[in-house]
Amino acid sequence: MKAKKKLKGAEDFGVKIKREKSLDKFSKKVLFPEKLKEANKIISHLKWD
Amino acid sequence: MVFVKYNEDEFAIFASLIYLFFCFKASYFPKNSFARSVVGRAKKIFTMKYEKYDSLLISPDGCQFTFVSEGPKGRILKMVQYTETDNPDIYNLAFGELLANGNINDSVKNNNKDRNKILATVAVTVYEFTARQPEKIVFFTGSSSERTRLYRMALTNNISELSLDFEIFGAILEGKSFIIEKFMKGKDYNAFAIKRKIV
Repeated sequence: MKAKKKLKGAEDFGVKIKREKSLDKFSKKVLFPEKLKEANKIISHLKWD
Repeated sequence: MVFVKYNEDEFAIFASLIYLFFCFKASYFPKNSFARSVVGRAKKIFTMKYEKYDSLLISPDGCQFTFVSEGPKGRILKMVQYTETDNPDIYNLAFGELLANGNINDSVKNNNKDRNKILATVAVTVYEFTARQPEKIVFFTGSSSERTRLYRMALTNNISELSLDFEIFGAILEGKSFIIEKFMKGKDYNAFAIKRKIV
């Protein structure tokens, strides 16, 4: 079976990326509630052309 | 040297094209060879097309990123978050300033004179997020019409490169619905959605 090509990520742009466990505390928190509300408003009325 | 008659811009375009279209790796060629030096330079120029912050922190779930903006206002910690929307296939992209108390300042102006560098860094997080979760759609809109226009311009200016890796859509208000279609230059979209092309 042909292996899937690895998709381009941050390191392909010369950007170092480091896993930071302390950011986990934000995972269950919506940091931008107004933006999410606006997104959901639009998404609920989306019609794919 | 073959390229001496070209100026830097012409060389950058040419080098980016060979790098993009042939996806050469410098390691294909013998050390100290001319071809290796050209490909190495092409990669460097392509990846440096837009200045960006070169260090990102990522949460274990791959949905939060932080980086430090540097400018006349000092060092400002930026947070980028991808949040699942009411449609679990679509994640909303938002970013802003992370304050010391853990709150977010998502006001439009940051005044650190690095707007484009921030946008380029956020774009890198889109690559990273979608490399990890390629089946998800990333949705974003501006917090003002000016900001949405800025995002439209950024997409328009980079459409040929972005289209290599993403399907790009624009949503436009028609009546009470938002019609979402393949992104077209010059259309005044209200929001955008992008999906990774899976090869």
